[in-house]
This record gives sequence, structure tokens and C-alpha cells, in this order.
Amino acid sequence: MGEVTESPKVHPGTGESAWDDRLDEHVIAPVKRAGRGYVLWLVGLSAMIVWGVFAYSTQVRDGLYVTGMRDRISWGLYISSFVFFIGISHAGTLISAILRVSNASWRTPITRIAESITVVALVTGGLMVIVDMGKPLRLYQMFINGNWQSPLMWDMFAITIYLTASVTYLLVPMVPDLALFRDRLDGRVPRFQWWIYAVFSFGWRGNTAQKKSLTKSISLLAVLIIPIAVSVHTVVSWIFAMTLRVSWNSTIFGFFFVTGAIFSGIAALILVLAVVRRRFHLQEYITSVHFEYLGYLLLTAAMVMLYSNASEYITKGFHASEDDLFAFRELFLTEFAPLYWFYFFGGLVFPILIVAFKRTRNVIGLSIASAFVLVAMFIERYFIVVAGLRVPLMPYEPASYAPTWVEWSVFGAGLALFLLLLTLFTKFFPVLAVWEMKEEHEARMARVPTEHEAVEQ
Amino acid sequence: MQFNRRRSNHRVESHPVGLGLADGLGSEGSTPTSDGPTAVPVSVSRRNVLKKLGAGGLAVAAPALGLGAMVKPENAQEDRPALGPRGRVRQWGMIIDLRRCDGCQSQGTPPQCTLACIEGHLAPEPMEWIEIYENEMSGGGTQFLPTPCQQCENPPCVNVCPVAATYSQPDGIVAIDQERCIGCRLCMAACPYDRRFFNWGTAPVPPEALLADYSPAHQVPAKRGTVMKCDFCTDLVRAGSLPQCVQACPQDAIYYGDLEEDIATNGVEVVGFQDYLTRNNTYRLKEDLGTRPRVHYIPGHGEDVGRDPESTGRLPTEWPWADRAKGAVTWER
Amino acid sequence: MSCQPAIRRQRPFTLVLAMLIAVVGIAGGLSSPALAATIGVDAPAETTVGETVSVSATISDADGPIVGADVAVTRLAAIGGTSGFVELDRGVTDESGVVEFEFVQNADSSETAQMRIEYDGPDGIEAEEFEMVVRPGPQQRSGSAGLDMGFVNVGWLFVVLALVWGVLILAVYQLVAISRANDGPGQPLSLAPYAMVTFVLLTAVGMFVVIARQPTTHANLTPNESFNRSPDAIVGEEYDYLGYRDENTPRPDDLGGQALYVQNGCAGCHGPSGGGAMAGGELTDATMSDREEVVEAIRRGPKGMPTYGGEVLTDVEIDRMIEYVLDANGD
Repeated sequence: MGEVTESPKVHPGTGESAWDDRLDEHVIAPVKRAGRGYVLWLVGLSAMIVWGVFAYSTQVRDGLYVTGMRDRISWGLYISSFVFFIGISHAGTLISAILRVSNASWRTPITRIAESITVVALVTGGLMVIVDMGKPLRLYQMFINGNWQSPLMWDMFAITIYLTASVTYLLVPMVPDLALFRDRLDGRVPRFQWWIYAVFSFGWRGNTAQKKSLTKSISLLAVLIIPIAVSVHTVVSWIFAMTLRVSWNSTIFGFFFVTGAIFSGIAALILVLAVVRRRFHLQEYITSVHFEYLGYLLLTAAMVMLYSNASEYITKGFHASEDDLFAFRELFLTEFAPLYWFYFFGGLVFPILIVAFKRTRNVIGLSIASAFVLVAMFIERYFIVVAGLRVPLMPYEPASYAPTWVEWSVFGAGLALFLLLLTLFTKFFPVLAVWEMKEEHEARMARVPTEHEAVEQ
Repeated sequence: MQFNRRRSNHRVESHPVGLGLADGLGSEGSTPTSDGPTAVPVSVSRRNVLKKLGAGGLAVAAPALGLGAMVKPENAQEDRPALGPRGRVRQWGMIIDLRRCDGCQSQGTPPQCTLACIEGHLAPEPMEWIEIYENEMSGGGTQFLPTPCQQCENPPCVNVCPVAATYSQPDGIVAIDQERCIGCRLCMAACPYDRRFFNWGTAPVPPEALLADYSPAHQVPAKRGTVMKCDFCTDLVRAGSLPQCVQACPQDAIYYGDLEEDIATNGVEVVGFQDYLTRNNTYRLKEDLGTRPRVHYIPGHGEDVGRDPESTGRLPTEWPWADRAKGAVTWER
Repeated sequence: MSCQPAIRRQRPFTLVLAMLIAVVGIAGGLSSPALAATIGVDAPAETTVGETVSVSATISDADGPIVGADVAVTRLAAIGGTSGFVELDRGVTDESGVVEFEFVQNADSSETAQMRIEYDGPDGIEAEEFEMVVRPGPQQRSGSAGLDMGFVNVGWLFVVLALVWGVLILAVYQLVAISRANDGPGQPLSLAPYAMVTFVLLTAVGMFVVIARQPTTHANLTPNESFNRSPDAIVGEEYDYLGYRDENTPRPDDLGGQALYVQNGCAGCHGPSGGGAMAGGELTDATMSDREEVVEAIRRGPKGMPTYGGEVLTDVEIDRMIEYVLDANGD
């Protein structure tokens, strides 16, 4: 395979090489092309970010007073979106690692995108916590006076490790592809851009020793990243579960959050894949089969979510303490009822139905379902945080909370940053794991020629 | 008799500290002394499990949890040093007699304790570090519940603070260092008594507050973006005075005292702290949470002060400098 | 001064006064024949803090021992400017008029405990006073939040993190191996993989350092001498009010009235020049007519006002401050 990258046009006539060449061209194409829509997209996202930065500047000037948060509901949209983004980050790494460890060969075309979502979502999620802080300039205190008994400190540890591991896990399998870019794009892209490819391909020539090191590194990371990813969202849930609030102090919270994270992660992956596939014309590689399989994963996650909901609410509802009843009433009947029932029907029942029927189990159907899941999971994070804080601790009237324009703007900027980073990644880096796909293609061609046709349908 | 000694030369050598006392304030007489091992009640507290396990959350730590079976009682007598070489540290505590509290309805004023606290600490609006809640009674009517920070011995807020900005002092008081607080508000989520307040904006405090020297024992001036709460007036009581709320209470309903010397006072009479708890059948708020507050309540219904138990409502608290602080904002809780 | 403090300010002192009168009265009464009962005390002369002290008292009158009398043993104690006799134990006399008490010695060991046996007789409370030397003892009460789980400790966190970071560094190190196995043309910045390994390594080490530092959060459990963000009080000692002032700020010997006024934090409550009705109220209204009364109030500190007597402010300084406030308000 290394030879192929070094001399790409050796056998222009044969089928195998033609497949490889076409793949190379498909992957390289986005790097060279920049349409008007693309520029507009970037400008739009940047404008959102600039607006969010402006909104944040008013918060820096006047304090968190400009948000809708107050003493009794002291967390809101910021923390919800932190949990949401960290959840999205499970798209990638966890799915890609699980599939890699279980040797599911269909994963290869989607791993790169999944892994990039992870890194980008982690960066965005981390920023949302800093935005929420009253004294963000004192963040250094976490390092010099870090109290490791605090769940927030565990979170910082876990996210640091996860980010480091995710970046590595994104970078290492990309090395041969970066080498491909290095070789094929020399002189065709700006010098600095090529230099990035050259530096981060680490002198990859595809020789046996290098392949051996690469395989070793990937296997180590794939095994390591699964416990790390599970721990990250468990620890995120512990920020809530370790307090003494009735809605939060629950043993199922870790499991619940991890499931929710995987659920929303799969949805995000389906949506991004659908867009990337259409935009970069990768229908040949990211086929409806992938969506179908991801749909099954989504279905499974939705079922587990339903189960977790039932387990949580039935257990608490059975003995029904006064606070539990209050929490249930606001969730199911009053303040948060529209949100909750949207989450329940739109985010859990609807996707299950979409996947269950063969007629809707296609790219468009799954994309719509995923969009619903993402919105519903964001709402779920929101009502977990806000409805949990709303349950009165002492005899006082329950407080109310509504995000202000500042919070919405900052949240919008976070979303825009997420999309911007993702766009830039797909623009400058190989969106498919080219070398793995080639290897698999070769293996498939050698083994069962008909399967090739099946994938290329 | 001269009781006000300043900086006496009294020194006590290091002694092991008697443990186990903490488990029940009413258990006077079973006080273990330094000689011989003491049977420490075996109870796993949330905080300590956390402390020992730390970020066991990294899922791989799960096997370590299995080692919980190896629990052994703390051999406290040998391991525990005395609380400092200077002597016996006072252990502050509070008893609030609900039989006497009428939310200052008989005075026709807002609760005096809250007002005195606000004025003494230059506390920003709308922070009521000691707040009078109105608790519904099972037999109808309401009861006033003055609620300062409960000064838990196992404080959930301290356990979750990521930068140790809030901490337990040797005298059992939970304090906040606003010069370290990062404003993450995890402590506010953790406090089961709703006793923590955040400076959402530039707080309305009188300009004079800016002249003050800040210390965690005296949180003046308020710092935007940090958390504040009742500090039990340790600066006042160290100097031989009493907390603002105790001094201000017209019904003498608040007793403040030292569990170490086992005395408490409401500014009128001196009582034995633990004896008073036992005799009045006191309780602590949300005792089942295991936070072990240092604030005790004598159950009551306001009947001692002639309040109509069926009447409700108290006058709202006012901040005298609300209109004098320039450029400040106030907010609702 | 507002009216509320004026009423309450007097309280501890009236009380101490009343107490003294009562003590003198009782002491006088003991020798008078009007008193019905005789109280005999058997108590150890010396006790140690933390020790369980046994005291017995015999109540008798002219007819012999009084059976079934309600008797208490009390100790004179003071806190927060209030003092009084605190009941330590209570009992009922047996057929020989003897009552046994038992209590744990908690008293301040820097002085002799003033004790009293109080008999609640038909003619009111009759008392017999005695003294008890208190020797220093250990801390009687301290916070305790749970128990030491021994085997389950922070060491496991180190083990887990070391494992995770170890594997991660091993994985990142493969980039170095890839880079070194380069058999083609040279690569730019061949130090990059080393830099990455170093970065990961430093992050790992940083994490361990953060955990190992362990800032003291629960000083109620693990007392730490270096832990003095806010000082604590020791039984038997009393301190200056630190409130608004910084303990460590050196005080110039000769300060003007205004400087003294601001530096001692008076402005915090009474306004910049004594005119503002803050926590402490106006200083210029006519509640106090006598200058001596004002000086006394500053020394003593009524209603939550800090005490400025003794070492805090000299009489000359208090005088200067009063002059400043009077000047500033034009009289």
C-alpha cells in the first residue's frame, strides 16, 4: 500500500488501482475546492461566533447577572450544553473504538469523521464550563489548589485524559493518510498547509516497521479509549449525582448519562455523515448500509434510554417522597412537561419507529430521526439540570429560570464553533480512513469478489 | 471575676484528640478520653468514601471499590494529633429555639436577626445569610425557621469545591475564601439547605465597605463572581462578643456556644450546650443526609411569644444602602 | 445610636451586676440562721480536662439529712460577654441526704473553676460554693466525618492514572518509532513526535502533582498548622477583633482622628464621617449626651460593634477620633 502512495499512477488501467485512485481523488477533492456556499457557511458561522463573543463580553463586564441564572437555579443553559457537547463527543471515539475492537469491518469509512466529532465536541464542551464560571481568570487555581475530592476535579482529570487520548486516536490512524496528502499535494496547496501534512505524517513511508508500530499504537488506543470514554460521562453525571438533590442523587445517573451520550453521539454521527457524504460525494464509500447499521445502534441506544427512564422514574415514583413528587409534577405535568414529552415522543419513540420500519430506514429518515434525537437530548440535558435545581430545598417558592439572550448567543456561538471546527477539519484533513479502506478493499477483492459489488451498489 | 483575658500565656501540650464524640451531641457522659482505645462507631460516610476513593470515577478504578470490604475502624487515638499545640480549639455551635421565634411579628419589623446580619456584614441584596423560612406545620399554620449556614461537620459544599476555596476550619466552621473561589457554583448545587449565595453582579454594598480589609472570616467587601454565606461571625466571637443575629434577636431565641467548653449563651443566660440539647429534645435539619450540622433546633410553634399560629407572613427584609451603591445591580433570588 | 442597641447594650452588664449581688447575697445568707439547710461538699481539689469528675454533696437541716432533695452541681462559665452558672449534673438525695454527681470536666484549664452546689429547697435555691483546680487536658470534641478505610485510599487513584497514562504514552511513543523507521526522504521537524510524547508526559506528571498537593479542606478532621486562612479561637483565650482591620497592618504611633476612624473600620458602619446611618447608626444624634459614655461605648463595643478598648485604641486615640467626628459634623 505504501508503494501505491509513492507512485500512484503505476497501473492506470487495472480495476484495483482505479478504485484506489478514485478514492484518493475523492478524499483529496475537498482540499482543493472551495465553493461560494462553503465561504458563506464559514462567514455565517464566524458571525455567530463573533456575536457570541460579544455577548460573553457583556457577561465579563457585568458578571453573570446578565444570565437568567440566580441563587436557586444556579446552573442553566451553559452547563446543559456542556453536558450535551461532552455527550456528543462519545460519537466518535467510543463507537469507533468499540467497532474496531469488535472488528466490525463496515466501520472503516466512518471512523475518521466519528473521531473528529469527538475532539471538536470536547473542545467546545470544555469551553462551555469556562463560560459558566464566575471568575474564569482563576482557572489556574484548579492546578495549584486542585482538590481531588471534588467531582469537578475528577471531571477535569477525565476530560484532560479523554482529550489527549482522543487527539492521539484521531491522529495516529490518520498518519498514513496525511502521508498521502503530503505526497499528492506537494506544490498544490499553500506551503504551510503542506508543511502541516509533512510534519504530522511523521515520515510515514508505509514500510513494515512503521506498519507494525502503527497497528500497535491503534490497538493500544482502541482498548484504552473505551474505559476512558465511559468514565468521562460517568464523571460528568457525578457532578450532579454527588450532590444531595433528589432528582440527581441517583445511582443510575452514571449509566444514564453514558447511554444518553452514546445515543446523542450516534445521532450526531449520522447527521454529520449524511452531510459530509452528500457534500463531498462520498456515496460510493459511505453507503446506505452504514446508515442502516448506525440506525440499529441508534435503536438499541434509544431502547436502553427508555429502559433507564423507566428504571429511574418507577423506582423513585414508587415510594414517592414529597420532593420526588414535586420533581415528577414539574416534569410530567407542569413547567417542563412540553419539554419532557417532546423528549419522550420525539427523541425516543419517534426514532425507534423510524428505524423499525424498512421504508423509513434510509438516509433521509435517519437524518430526520437524528435531528430529533439531538434536539431531544439537548432538552433532556436542560431539564435534568434546571428541573433538578428547581425542586425546593427549603420551604420557599420554587424559582424560575429562562435563558437570556446572552446565554442563547453564547450557546449559539458554541454550536457554531463546533460546526466551524468540524468544517475546517473536513476541509483540510482526509475525511475517510483511506489506507484502511484500501487494505480492506484489497482483502475483499482477494476473498469474495462479489461483495465488492454489493458495497459499490 | 475577670473573664476577659487577653492572650493569656496558657499553653497545652499536644494530646491525642478524643474521637467518637461527634456522633451524638446528646451523648454526654460517654466522652472518650485519651487513655485506652475507644470503640468508634463504624459508619461509612459519604464524604470519607469520596475522600479515600477520590476520582475513582475513572471507570478502571471500579475494582478498587471492591476493597471496601477491608474496612477497619479508625484507630483514632494513636493517629490523631491534638488540634494544634496552642490548646483546645473552640468548637462553635448554635441552638435556635423555635418556640420563641415569631419572625419578629410581635415587633412589627422584618426579622431582626436578618437585618443585623445584613448590616453587620454589609451583605449585598438579596442575600439573607440567616433567612427566616416559613415552615408549614402538620397541624395547620406555619412556623418560622431561622436558617443560618448549618456549619455541617461533613459539609457537602466543602467536599465538592474543586479548588478548596470553601473549607472546614479546625473550629468546625465552614468558611469561603472569596479570593480563591472560581465561581463554578458546584457548592450551591451541593448545599442541601440553600444557604449559599452568589454575587451575580456588582453587589449593592455601601461605599464604606470598600475600606474594609477582606478576610474569609469577614467577607467584606463582596466580590463579584464568588459565593458567600453565613460565617458564624467567628471574628466577633473570637473577640468575646456574640454573632450579629444572636445579639439582635428580641426574643433571645438564638443560643451560640462552644461545644468544647460545653457552654452556650443567648446573651442573657449561660447554659450547658449538650445538656440544653438533650433537655429540649433538639433536632437538626435534614439529619438523615449525614451532614451533621452544628445548628440545632428546639421544636416549637411560636406559642411562647404570643403569635397566632394560624397567621402567616413576615415583613420583607430591607437593605438600607440599596439606593446608595452606585453602579450596582440587585437581583431576585 | 439607634434605640435598639441602646436597650440591649446594657444587658450583659446588668446581668453580671445582678449576678454579683446574688452571689454576695447568697454568701451572706449562708452564715445567717435564716437558711434552713446545710450543704456539705465532697469534691476533688484538682481535676484534669476530659476527666470524669465525681462530686458528692450532703444536704441536711436541723432535723438531719434531707431525703429526696433536688440538687444540682454547677460551674461558673462565661462566653460572649455573658456569664452564669451552668448546670453540670443534677440528682436527688438518698436516705442519708447524699447525692452523687458525675460530669466530664470541660472547663477552661487556665483558671480555677468556680463551682456551686444548688439545692432547690422549699425556701428557694440555696447554694454552697467551692473551687476546683483544672489542669490542661486534651481536646474534648472535634469534627469527625467518617472512618478511615485503610486499604481504599488515594493510592489507587495513582495506580489507575499511572496505568492509563502509561498506556497512552506507549501509544504516543509509537509515533516516535514510526518517525525513526522512516526509510525515505527526510521529514520536516522530526522532533515533533518527541515533542508530543513530552507534552503527554508533562500533562500526566502535572495531574499527579495536582493530586499529591491535596490542599487542606477539612481542617476539622486533619488539623494543619499551616492552615490559617481564618484563625480559630482557643478555650481560655480572647483576641482582638479582626473584623475590618488587618491584624498585620502596623499601626502608626501618631495618627490623626480621621485616619484612626477609617483605619479601624468605623467608617464601615457609621459612614465616612460618622453621619451615615449604616449598621452602626449615626454618631451625631443625641442618644449619648455624656462624652464619657461615648468613650465607654467605643471601648466596650455594644451590639455587635467591635471592642476597641485596651490594646486596640488608647484613650488619646479615642479622643482624637471623637474630635474628628465632632469636627466633621460641625459641632
